[in-house]
Amino acid sequence: MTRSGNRPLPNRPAWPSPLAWCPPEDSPLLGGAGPASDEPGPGVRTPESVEQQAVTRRYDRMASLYDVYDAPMELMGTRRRRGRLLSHARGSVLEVGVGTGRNLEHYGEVSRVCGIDVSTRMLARAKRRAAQAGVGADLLEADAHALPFADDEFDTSVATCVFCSVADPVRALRELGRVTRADGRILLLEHVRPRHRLLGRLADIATAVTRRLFGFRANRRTEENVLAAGLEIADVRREGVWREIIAVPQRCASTDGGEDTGS
Amino acid sequence: MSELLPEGLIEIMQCIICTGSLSERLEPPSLVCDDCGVAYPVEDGIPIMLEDEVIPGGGGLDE
Repeated sequence: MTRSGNRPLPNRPAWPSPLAWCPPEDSPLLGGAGPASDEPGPGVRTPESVEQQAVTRRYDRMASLYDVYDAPMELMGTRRRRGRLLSHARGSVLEVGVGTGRNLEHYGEVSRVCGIDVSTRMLARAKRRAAQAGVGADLLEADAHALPFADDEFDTSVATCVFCSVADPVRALRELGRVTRADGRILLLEHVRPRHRLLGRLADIATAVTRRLFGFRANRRTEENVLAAGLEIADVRREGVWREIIAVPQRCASTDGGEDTGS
Repeated sequence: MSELLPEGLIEIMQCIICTGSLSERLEPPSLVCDDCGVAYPVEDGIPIMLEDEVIPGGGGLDE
C-alpha cells in the first residue's frame, strides 16, 4: 500500500519493501500449518484489498477537508444519531474507522477507547482532536478486515458510516464479533440500501457514481450483512436509509451467506 | 512498562498474520511478533498494523 501521510518521516528506517516479501507456499503464515482459514494470506492481492487501498488513498487525500465536506450530513441528523447510539457504549471501546475522531466527544463513562483507521492523515486529525478535547484515545493504523486485537477484548465495538466503504463488510463484521465480548455490544450507524423497490434500484445506480467519486456505496445491505457475519441484532432504529444497530456476538450462529462484496 | 505505546495496549493486541503476541522494540520503533517474527512500525506513537506495512523478518538492526 502506498501511504500518503502528509507528515515527514525523517527517522523512518529503511525497511525492506513489504512487496518484495512473499512467504513460501507451505509457510504457516499462509495458513499451511496454522489455523484453518478461508481468508487470503498476507501479500495476496484480491479485488477487495485493491479496493481497500483505493479507499485508503481517497481518505488520505480528503482528510483535510473531510469535516467540511461532511458537515451538511452532520447537521441533517448524523450528529444526533451518533450521540443517541453511542450513549450505549460501555467499558472498553473499539472504534473501527475512527476517521477524524468525530465520535470521541460522544463517549461518556467508558474505561478505554481504541480507534483504528486505514488513513494516516485521518488518524493525525483524530489525534489532534482527541488532544484538544482532552479525550484519551489509543489510535492505531489498522484495517477492519484484520483487527490487530485478541479475541473478546472489548466491551463495545463501534463503527459509524464505515460499512458503506469497507470492501468486504461481512468479513469485517465477523472481526468485530471476534474482538467483542460475548456480553458486549456492537454499535453501528450506517446508511443502507432503501427497502422501497424503486428507491433501491436508484441507490444501485447511484452507487456506480458514489463509489467512483466518494468511495462509498449507497446500496449496502448492512442489516443483512450483520446477520451473515454471525451477529445477532438486539435492536435497530430505522429512519429513512439510516440504521442505528445494536448487535451482539452470537458465536455459534451460522456464518454462511451474506451480501456479495461487489454490489 | 510500555515505552512505545499507551499502557496496557500491547497486551490486548495480536499479530494480524499469525495471531501471535507482540513485543516492543525501541530501535527502530516497532512491534515484533513473538511467533512469526514480523515487525510492525510505530510512528509518532501510532502502530501501523497493516498487512502491506509488515516488515518481514522483523527488519531489526542486527539483520
